[in-house]
Amino acid sequence: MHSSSTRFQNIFSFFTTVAFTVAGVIALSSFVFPTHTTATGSIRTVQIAPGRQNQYGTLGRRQEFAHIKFDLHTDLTPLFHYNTKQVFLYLTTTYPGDSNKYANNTVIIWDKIVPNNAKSKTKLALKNQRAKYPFNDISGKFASGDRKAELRLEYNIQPHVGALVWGTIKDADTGSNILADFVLEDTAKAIKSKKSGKAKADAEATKARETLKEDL
Amino acid sequence: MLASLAALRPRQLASQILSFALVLSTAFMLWKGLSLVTNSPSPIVVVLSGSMEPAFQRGDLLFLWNRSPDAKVGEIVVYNVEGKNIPIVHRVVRNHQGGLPYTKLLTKGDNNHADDVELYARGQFYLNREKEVIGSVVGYIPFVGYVTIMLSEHPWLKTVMLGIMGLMVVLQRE
Repeated sequence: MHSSSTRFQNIFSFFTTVAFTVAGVIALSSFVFPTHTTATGSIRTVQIAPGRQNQYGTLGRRQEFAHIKFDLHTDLTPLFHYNTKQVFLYLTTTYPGDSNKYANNTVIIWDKIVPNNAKSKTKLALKNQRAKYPFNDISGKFASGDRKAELRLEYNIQPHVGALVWGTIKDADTGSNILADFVLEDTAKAIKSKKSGKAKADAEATKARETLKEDL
Repeated sequence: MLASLAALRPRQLASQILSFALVLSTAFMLWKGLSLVTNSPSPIVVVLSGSMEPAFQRGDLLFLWNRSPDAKVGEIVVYNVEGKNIPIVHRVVRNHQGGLPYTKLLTKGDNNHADDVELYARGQFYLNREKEVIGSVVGYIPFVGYVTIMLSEHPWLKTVMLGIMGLMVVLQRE
């Protein structure tokens, strides 16, 4: 009964019981902290340019890549409590694709790991930030039809122990999960085609006016 | 040692062996039960590499859940590429779905600069959610799984531990 092996066993089992109980209490207690915060964000430019799919040699074929620049303002302070090890913050874009095969597409265009220490900045103010990950569509080319895309800001709280928590940061003004609606089209080209389209329309209008004058 | 073994009556010896077998089968049943509940062939995994640092370090224990047919972008999944027998824990960075019966995923380790295409099979660019993903991470306990890394890196430890455990059970008088 009082041999050294049973003593060792008792100490060990007591230690593990206490450790797991404390861990369990910490894990449960982290659900009581409110994690509400808001953000504002918008798309500055979209550039669609051809590129190779990956960096590993000859496999990559040429396809369309979307390069995005955006603005983002948010305060992550409410996501940090004593059981937060880090916050993984990520911007996602959802866009429609080929309606038969891949109609719903979601990609991470930018992410940031914010560790829980005094040095980390928890307030973000990004202006004209280049998205870390230019993305291509799974089919190689963005579908020609509907290209309405949405921008969302999401987070994953990594605890020291316990459950991982995911969430979406809502828009400060509208309260919706979507920070910005945009069209997945090359902004420079869109402006150019708009301009040339306008010029053409103007030319046609003056021509029509002239013919009208002549008729009169 | 041997003398004390010989001193045991056969009935007592049999009951000790039975209790040892009971412990083993209970552990096995719990594992398989958890596997059924979570719908994952391996509901608890140990992190083997530093590719998800600083979120996960080597030896951390992860609890998986595999009841959702989707794996959203931002979720951390464990996948097993067909033909390669190493489970990998990485984050989903792209998700493509639609008319096809399964969702296609692209994954990336937080600590890696490039995505996982290099880790997939030759010529494979996306994961199959249905076939290759064995669960997504829902819970986390740090460091506890380090024992298994020690055991797999130093196989003789396994024999030593099993031997000690067996002897302890057999030699216990009560």
